Amino acid sequence: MEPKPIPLVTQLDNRSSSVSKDAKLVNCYADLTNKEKPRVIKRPGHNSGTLYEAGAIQGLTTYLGVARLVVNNKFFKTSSTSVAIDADGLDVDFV
Amino acid sequence: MASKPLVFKTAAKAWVFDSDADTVTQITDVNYPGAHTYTISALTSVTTTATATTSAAHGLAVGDGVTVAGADQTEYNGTYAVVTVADTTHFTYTFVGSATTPATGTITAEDGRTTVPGIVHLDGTYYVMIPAAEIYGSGVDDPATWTALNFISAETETDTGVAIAKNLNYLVAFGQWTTEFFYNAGQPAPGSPLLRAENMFLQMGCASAKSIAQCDNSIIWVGQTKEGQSGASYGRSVVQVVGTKATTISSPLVDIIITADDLATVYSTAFKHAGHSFYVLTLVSSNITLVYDLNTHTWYQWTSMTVQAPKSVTSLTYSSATGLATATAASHGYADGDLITIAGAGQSAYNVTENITYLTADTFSYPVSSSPATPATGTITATGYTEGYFKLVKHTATGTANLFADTSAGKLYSLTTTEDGDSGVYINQLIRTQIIDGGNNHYKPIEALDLIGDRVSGDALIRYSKDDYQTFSKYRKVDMSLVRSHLSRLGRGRRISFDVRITDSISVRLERMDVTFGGE
Repeated sequence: MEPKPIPLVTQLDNRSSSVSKDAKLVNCYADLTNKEKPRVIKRPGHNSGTLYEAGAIQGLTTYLGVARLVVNNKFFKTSSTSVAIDADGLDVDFV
Repeated sequence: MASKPLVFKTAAKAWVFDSDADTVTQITDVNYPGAHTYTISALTSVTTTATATTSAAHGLAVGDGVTVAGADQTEYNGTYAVVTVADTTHFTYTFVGSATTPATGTITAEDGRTTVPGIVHLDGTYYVMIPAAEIYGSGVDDPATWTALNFISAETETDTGVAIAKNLNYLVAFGQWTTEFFYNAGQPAPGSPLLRAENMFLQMGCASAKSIAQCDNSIIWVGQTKEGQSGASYGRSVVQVVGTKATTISSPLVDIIITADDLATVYSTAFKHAGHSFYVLTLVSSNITLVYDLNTHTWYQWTSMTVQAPKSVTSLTYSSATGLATATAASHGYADGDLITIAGAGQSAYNVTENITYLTADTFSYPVSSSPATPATGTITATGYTEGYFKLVKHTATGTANLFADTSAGKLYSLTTTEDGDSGVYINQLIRTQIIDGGNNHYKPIEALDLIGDRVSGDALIRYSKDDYQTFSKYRKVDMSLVRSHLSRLGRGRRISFDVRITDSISVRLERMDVTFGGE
């Protein structure tokens, strides 16, 4: 018999709140540039990172082209200079 | 030209970073609707009514919560509701017991005012919202100065404020059940310059402030309606507002996942990669990250692998007949196809990182490329990985880099190629197909399978299920460097689904599988 082509691009097709069964793409994304040949591509990875200070980053933004963040109740004005703020360990929003 | 300051806030407090002066200053204006601490210069009592005198103007109103601390007579200390406000420097509250008057000590009072997540800058004014859905504005180009009258209420419906954000030139006020949009109408001071965009009102609130993200000139969040959904009190779905048009972008199946979660800890972010725009929603309680591709309108699941503590391998033998090593590690917990690192064997051929074949709860096997002495000697360990939600949860783009924060390490990460994995840890790519039946439900042989995609140096693992994803075959490797990435002799079945798993650190574009069914 002729082979049947089985597309790999698929929507999340869970039948319950668990995704242990049914069709899915994990750590992928779909490339539909060529509609006749939809393709599945693995997601990008990431590097080992730059440590600011161990702890949960409470907020992150870019200001004047530089990443600014709050971690351990310290506002990092640059990657190497910080100032303590009384943020109570809470999430921080920037604008 | 001076730069506009960077303003940032928690629920209770806010700060201004002036990059020109290189200063960070907390906003202390008494009219800022967050928490303030006042010095109490005098604290007296008559029976159980305490009268506090603040050294500076306070912003308290009758009924506000206030926490008094520092009095030597501890009866005064505690959290109370304000009973009367005589003027801007006096208020009273009722305490329990009796206390010497006047009180002594270094006494402070902190009000309990909070704002909801989000801060918006619109035409020079900074806006925050309080849980009562009142939106307060700062002075123009002056985030340190606030007035009590510069506010407007999101009050089309009587629900509580959840968050604010900005979309285009609108301030978006998210309530528990509704969403309202405001624009700068230039209304005269001292009131708010904002007016409500009446035609943009949404009967859809926000289930989690942490689900809000902006991407591609749109704003996306987990919406919530009062209409119930099976298994939960409220109906939830992911909503996107593009321009002035709101659209539900989650499928009913994604809604099931979101609705089942308690939303206790939620992360969301959005970013662009390789021409795609992704909305990334992590539900920690469900240990799942759902990713929406705004270009293809497809939902995916993304995960991260965390290295486990090494397990002791108590026996490791080699069979020249099969070319396989068999390891014994009590209650190893590994699954078929998992990538495991074996280390510590005196015979180096055993020490590899390989996809294992699950044998029993205590044993597994893996291929060995040469013929080492058997059994292996040494203090041997096996190290595997635990799969969980995608760990990158916050994102910012600096113009030169896409930077991400994870949940706990205090690091900023940059995206790299797929080949690098996640900082050297493999990315567990899995494609689980729909169930296929060759056009009929007959019992038939499944003769062959070809995996169609790029030819690259690496392997894919393929297994199948013939019982509605309940059980699977063992994984079999296909070499993707060959002209045909091919498996044959897949047995017989009526309906079959496949898992294609790639743990090798390779980048490959996969198109389809060609499955050949035999005659009946």
